[in-house]
Amino acid sequence: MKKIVFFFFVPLLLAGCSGNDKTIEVYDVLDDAEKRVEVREILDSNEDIYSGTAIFVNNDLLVAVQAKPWLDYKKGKIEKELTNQFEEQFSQFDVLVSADYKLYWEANKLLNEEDSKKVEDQVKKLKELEKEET
Amino acid sequence: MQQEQYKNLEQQVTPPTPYLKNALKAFFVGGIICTIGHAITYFYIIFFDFTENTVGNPTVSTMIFLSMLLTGFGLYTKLGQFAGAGSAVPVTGFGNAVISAAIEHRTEGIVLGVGGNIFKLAGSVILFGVASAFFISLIKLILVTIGVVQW
Amino acid sequence: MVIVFQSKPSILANAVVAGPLEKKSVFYSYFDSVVEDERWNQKTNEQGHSKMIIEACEIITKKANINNLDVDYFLSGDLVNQMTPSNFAARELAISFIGLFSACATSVSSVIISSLLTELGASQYAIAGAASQHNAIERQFRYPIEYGGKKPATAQWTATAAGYVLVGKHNPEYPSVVAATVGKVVDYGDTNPFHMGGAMAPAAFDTIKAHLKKRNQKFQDYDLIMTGDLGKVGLKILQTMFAQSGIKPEELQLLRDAGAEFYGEDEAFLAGASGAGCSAAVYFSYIIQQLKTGRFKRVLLCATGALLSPLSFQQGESIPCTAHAIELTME
Repeated sequence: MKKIVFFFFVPLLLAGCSGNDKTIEVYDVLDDAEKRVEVREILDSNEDIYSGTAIFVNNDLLVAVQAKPWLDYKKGKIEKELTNQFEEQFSQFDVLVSADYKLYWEANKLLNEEDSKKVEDQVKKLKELEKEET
Repeated sequence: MQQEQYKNLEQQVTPPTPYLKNALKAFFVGGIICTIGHAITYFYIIFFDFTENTVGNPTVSTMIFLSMLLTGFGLYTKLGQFAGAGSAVPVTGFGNAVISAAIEHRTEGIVLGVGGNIFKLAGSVILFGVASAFFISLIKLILVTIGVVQW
Repeated sequence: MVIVFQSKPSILANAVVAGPLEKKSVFYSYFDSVVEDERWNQKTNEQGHSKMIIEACEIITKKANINNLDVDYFLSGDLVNQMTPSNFAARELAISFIGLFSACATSVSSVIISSLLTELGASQYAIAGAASQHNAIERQFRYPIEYGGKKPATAQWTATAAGYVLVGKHNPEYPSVVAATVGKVVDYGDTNPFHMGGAMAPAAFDTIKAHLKKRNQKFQDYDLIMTGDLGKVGLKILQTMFAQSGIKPEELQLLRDAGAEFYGEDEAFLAGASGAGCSAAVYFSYIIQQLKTGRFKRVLLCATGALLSPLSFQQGESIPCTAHAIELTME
């Protein structure tokens, strides 16, 4: 019995300890280096997330982040803080920050998308989805 | 023999309940059920247009559907005997309580049998769930009003 | 209260019908008939329960080569509310009927009453016995069948079986009822419906002790003393009680329990079998047969019953229990 418990727990413990680096991705049609740095700075300064993806398209900015394990309960707070920071920095954009896995998953899929029209449609759709409550 | 004396004797002879073993079984089986639930959550998020806010409903329906199949084929009782609280506490256990009562009372007809008895076991869960939700939100409302916490 | 039967009524025929799961019983080979369908091909469990009783009675009349008109009394009981399976079976059989309720001890109490009727000369032939059907009883006393609740190791499994005997005037070729004890209702304050053995053991102790004392007998006077459905844990408790009252270990070997042995060592049935049909099935197949072959000369059958209802234990009442005993001999 003890061996079995060990067998299951050790990999979990080891897996939980690795990977302190944040993966931050930015998609920008205009490929503005300055924006990239600014986004990186904001996301890097937040201690509660381990990954984030920002998508700039036309007037929209979608930032999808993932809270660290055990910090899921802080999601609302994280979203609020980041929204304030991003809105301050990118006041010309319509900003949406979300810690929802759905938005994160879709945002990451968009990173390799060439067609900016498609990206725009998808971002609009995701913003709609986020508002959905039921 | 006195009642006290007999109680002592009975306790000595009756094998003790293996609480630790039961708790471990419940932990693992409950954990597995919840993992399956989480896999279903991700399935709906990735392949359908559900967000974390909205994915709860389809996930719960799917889990209850699975629980219904297991109950109907007589497997949930076996799972329950092994896992105890591990299979009773997740939503599948709630589904099992409702469905088993429905199957049981089918012979008394749809309206009086199934309709009247389907919540025989689960009814108290619903009642006290709703009642406690009311009181918790009342407490929160008071705390928000006096400014201790925010919504 | 001990009754001594001067006329020694005999058990002229016996029949046990059981459900599909009872094939796992160690007594399976002694049963007269086993049905593949739990509901006896009826619409409801309760109808199946009734059908099972009718079938057992039909086997009895066939074995004794008589018909229903020759039978004077039908004494039966079961655990369903108001004993409808027995009542409905009596409707089909058209025999004068007395419904009895001593919970799982009905198998013996019905034999006691029919022996009294025979002794009185009021009855030529009387059919006595009890039955239980797992699904019909479980739904009544516990949770729905398919509900996945965990049962403790002390819980018992209600057996699906009907055991009946034909009691008639003394015939030396058949086992005879020589004495009986009608038990008191004993309550040591147990409230756990998943530990019936613990609640019922004191009743069995009380009845067996009273019987032996009044009859001036010892354990060794019997080839076997068998309780009804105490289960594995209940039997252990009863053995401990007797051991504390000065019965030697080798004598305790004579004490067995039908419920504890019914399903053998199969752990799926936890502490063993229970239900009115459990003791009836073992007493009226295995025991009668062993008496007939002469392996047993004198046995004491002490069926125990827990006299609770789902209502009473929800209202926090403790579980009163009774035990009735009959002494059977073979000349």
